[in-house]
Amino acid sequence: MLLAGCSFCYSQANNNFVLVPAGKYTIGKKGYLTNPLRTVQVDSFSIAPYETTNRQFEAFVKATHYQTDAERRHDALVFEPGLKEFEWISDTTAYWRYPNGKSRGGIEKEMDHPVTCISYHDIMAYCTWAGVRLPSLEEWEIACRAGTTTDYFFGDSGAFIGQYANVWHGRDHMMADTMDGHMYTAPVGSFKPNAWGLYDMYGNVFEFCTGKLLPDEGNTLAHARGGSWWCSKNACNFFNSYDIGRVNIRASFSNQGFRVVKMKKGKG
Amino acid sequence: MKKILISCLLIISSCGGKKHAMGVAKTGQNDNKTFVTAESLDAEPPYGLEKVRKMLTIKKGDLLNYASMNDTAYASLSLRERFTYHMINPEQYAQTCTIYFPKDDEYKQIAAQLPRISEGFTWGERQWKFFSTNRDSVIALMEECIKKESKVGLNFKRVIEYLDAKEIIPLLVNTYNNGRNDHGLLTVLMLLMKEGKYAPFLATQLYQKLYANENASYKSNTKFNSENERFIVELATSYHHATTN
Repeated sequence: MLLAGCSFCYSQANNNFVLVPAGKYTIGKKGYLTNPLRTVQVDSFSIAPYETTNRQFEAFVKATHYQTDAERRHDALVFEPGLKEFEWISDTTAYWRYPNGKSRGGIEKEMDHPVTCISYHDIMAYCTWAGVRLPSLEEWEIACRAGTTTDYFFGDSGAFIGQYANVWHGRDHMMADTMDGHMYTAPVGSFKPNAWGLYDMYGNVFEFCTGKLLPDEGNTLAHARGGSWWCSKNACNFFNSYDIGRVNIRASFSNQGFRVVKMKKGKG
Repeated sequence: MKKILISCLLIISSCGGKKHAMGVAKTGQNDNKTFVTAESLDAEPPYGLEKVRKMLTIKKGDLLNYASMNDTAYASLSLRERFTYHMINPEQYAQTCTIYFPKDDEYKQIAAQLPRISEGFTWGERQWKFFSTNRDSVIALMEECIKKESKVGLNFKRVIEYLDAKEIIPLLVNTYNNGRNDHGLLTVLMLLMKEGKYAPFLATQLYQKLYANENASYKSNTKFNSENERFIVELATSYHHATTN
């Protein structure tokens, strides 16, 4: 317990968590069967304003000598321009230090970018070490919406997404897109936050959450939200407040990451 | 219409299609539930099906194992058995947004794109290569299955799109006309015309709306009605004539 507390202080330094008060919140979208419009009651929780960075994950690896799924299984999936929509390529050299494979460069100069190429399983290990947890599906949406009930926390039109999120602006993924200065991830906090001061809720990386969409959903699948640098309005269009993605808990993609929620005292 | 749809679901279920978890159980709209379930069914080819299933002793999603059959086991399969293997066992992790988010009015729509459905897996490099390298055989095997079952599984539809198998259009049209409830077949017909850059289709408002419009996405759709239905079928038939004559 003491160790977990110390490592938490180290890994989450300068990360002023945003307190979301307990209460009833409206989430979901009308007509969506798996995330219907509804009111939920939640306890208060404190969520990180930024996605977890390479620097924070490195601290975990240095302290624990943890090897990620991608390092042990050599089955990470990476992206390069020229792939058809929704296609990724397997790269046995890819892991969090080389999220798109060694040939595409490392993260040495990107320590303030979100950590990627990690699996849900890896994230659980990080959270245990750091004494934090992932937000639930409901908590993530409440934090993202920041009191709004529109499709985006800035309204119903996605026209201004570029001000708030690192997303793919190209028509497809055949050509590189650096229109916003970033083809892959951007440093956390590079774009405008939502009304509660949370950055990158849309885009940059998909953020894993806990919870299931269906009671009978298998335990090999996890959910993530908010879209990523890969997502475009012409492809998945997942950078919004209501969509919920799904991926294998051992899968490592270079557009998957996470942000954390503080553990309450006595629940660590 | 409702009775027809429910009957069709019963027929589809008896053919042994593999259903993906769709999250539709709570809807009170039986028409939509039936439609979404039917549209998400994968075909299970009969060629060595039991043999392939037995060889897949590594359960997909197991914490320490992979989903793919090892090279030695794979090499022992005949072409037909490999066809079955690939159709029933995607090998590669699917990215997070490869998920179908059904809405409560799907049965009233014709989608621009086939739904991206996965249980966490999609086809990998070896599998796409198999489909393209054995294009003619894969199409012939799909034709055989479609004629026998009078339905086209979602996995078949995706391979038809991938292979740009326009030669199969008459069979798709006949199959559609048998039940006229598989809107996914209309989607495939449109995708084939789009891929073939068929000028009469590219000139339509439908094409503009579903594929060319600035905001066209994988979620785009158009209304399902007899007019759109007839239009797509007739145009696809003309496209087939134009490409074969």
